[in-house]
Amino acid sequence: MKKLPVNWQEEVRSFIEGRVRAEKARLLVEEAKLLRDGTKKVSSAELIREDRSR
Amino acid sequence: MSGVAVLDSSVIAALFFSDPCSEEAEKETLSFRVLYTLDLAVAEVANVAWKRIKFFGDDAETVKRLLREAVRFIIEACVKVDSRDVYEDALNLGVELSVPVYDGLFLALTERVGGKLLTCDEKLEVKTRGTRLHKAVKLLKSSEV
Repeated sequence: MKKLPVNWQEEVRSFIEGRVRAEKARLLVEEAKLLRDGTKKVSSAELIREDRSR
Repeated sequence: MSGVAVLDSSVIAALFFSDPCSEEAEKETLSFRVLYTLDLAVAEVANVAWKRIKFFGDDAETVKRLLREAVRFIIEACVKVDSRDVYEDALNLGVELSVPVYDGLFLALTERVGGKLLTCDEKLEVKTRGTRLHKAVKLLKSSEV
């Protein structure tokens, strides 16, 4: 493996960082799911479009 | 899990506030290996929160809590890119496609990272039709269509 022109430390670091981010995404979205049902169903895309096209 | 996605602010807002796009946003977002977004998303999602409290009567404490979670998501679950890193490309795209720079920023980031731009905003998707960027834009379906 040492002969291969690959920065293994960087590869492993990047992989782990990606996995941590993906897991955080899953957990945060899962936690928000119940709470968000307590808000009104409104198109955020339309609200943001109002601001962007002003 | 597939590759790289750039999340438009509309998708992040749909993940944390009830939205016709929420279910699709959740399914699509969590299917990507790496998520990017812009610092601009914090301001745009915060303004959605403000409108929800001021004009739609959502409970302020619930909205504030969800906004905190959304900002955590942007910072901890996404690679957050500064607008200053892509603003020149964004301006060029804005002129080329006749879209505001706000849209141009997300499109420029998408070109930069070579990913898919996920959006719940049909107008953004429509603006890219017939351009080289259209295949990089994925419009997420509303559950009410």
